Amino acid sequence: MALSFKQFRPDELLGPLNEVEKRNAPEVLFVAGDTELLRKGKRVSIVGARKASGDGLDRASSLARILVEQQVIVVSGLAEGIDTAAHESAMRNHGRTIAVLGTPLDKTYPDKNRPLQQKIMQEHLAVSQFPTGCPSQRKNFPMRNRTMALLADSTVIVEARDGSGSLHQGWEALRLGRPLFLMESVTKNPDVQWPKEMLSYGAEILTRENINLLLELLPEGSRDERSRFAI
Amino acid sequence: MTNDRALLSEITYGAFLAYSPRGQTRVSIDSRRIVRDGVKHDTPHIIRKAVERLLHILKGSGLEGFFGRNVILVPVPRRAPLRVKNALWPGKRICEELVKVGLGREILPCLERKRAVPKSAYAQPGVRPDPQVHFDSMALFPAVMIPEKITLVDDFVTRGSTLLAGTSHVQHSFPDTEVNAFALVRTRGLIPEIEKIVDPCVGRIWIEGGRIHRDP
Repeated sequence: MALSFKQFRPDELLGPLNEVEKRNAPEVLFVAGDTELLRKGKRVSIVGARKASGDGLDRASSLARILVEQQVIVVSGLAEGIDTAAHESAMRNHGRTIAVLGTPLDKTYPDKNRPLQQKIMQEHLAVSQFPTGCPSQRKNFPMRNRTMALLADSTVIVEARDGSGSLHQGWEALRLGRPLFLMESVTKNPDVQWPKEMLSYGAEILTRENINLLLELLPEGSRDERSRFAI
Repeated sequence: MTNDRALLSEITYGAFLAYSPRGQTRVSIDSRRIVRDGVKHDTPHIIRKAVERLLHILKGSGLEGFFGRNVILVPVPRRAPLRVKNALWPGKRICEELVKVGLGREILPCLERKRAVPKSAYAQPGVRPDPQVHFDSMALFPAVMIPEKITLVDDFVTRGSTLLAGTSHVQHSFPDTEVNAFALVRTRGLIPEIEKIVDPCVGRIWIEGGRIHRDP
């Protein structure tokens, strides 16, 4: 089945953006699927390493399941590893998911995720800031990560090495003033330095005990509703 | 070295809007969906509309002394240092709107957060960061001016630890200046429901028996 791609300005989907959000927002978003997922509902992004550990994949799956059970939309980047685990768990548990691509919508990276991308385009939502024909470049992925921070109300980094692309998303979430959580396990990993730095700038540790707080911090209404309200 | 000698035991504070953390009436729900989330995330144009409303009802609200063309506004820092200058800073955004409508002379961003403190919302009562923790996490850049009046401006006041700590720093550096503290929104967690969102108040925040108190 041929899929149709549409394009919108970010504010047409999300509602009006503030000056901080406008700074790194793409001019256009190309979308395939159910755009209501960006207009309504609470969204949490789950991201992390492509070459993830078994425990990391399990944690991503568990978190995605818990979120969709609370009607939260799971946002991720369709990459191998943590991203794939998050998308698949959201769908397996009858939830909704958004894939934010580092490629144009007519391309897939990694190629083996083509069936997953097709399913998301048909039944959920895929988003890209890159027009059809745009060459795939390394710099596209950090740009994609910043866009994902914009589209999600909160971000969770499950597992990542120093220098990982997921860190771009973490820093952007902090810049936007959105809650950023780091899985407790990654903060205890002596092989990585970045969690300590991110915690010093306001990231929070996500544990089994405080997962409700992640949910409590999600906005309750839509941005459009807020911006129209007369005080 | 600790700074406990410099932490004030009591301050006057003002607030304009109210929000209910758990209420279920229409007003309480709107206070979260619109006010809490809109101010926290600087949703266009919630802060501007709130400040314009404040200007409209200022006379007789009790908040007149907090604002004016002779008042320097000091934004209260976020709970963690800003890594980049173009990051969201709600306290500063509120100050910008206040200056635009003439409720402040200029913004003096002289108070900074040296290190992150845990988010109050994440902490259980009794283990929330106390005023001393907030005080020790902040630093004040020296300023050459001697303002006639200063008002610290924050987005929310919950228990009041942040406002007390920030005001203490500023008063310490400007001992001859009248220093007040203002939060655009006050949390009303001790009552089940709120009756109105626009609910200006002037009250006090103080430490007694080792605990912080806010009234109202």
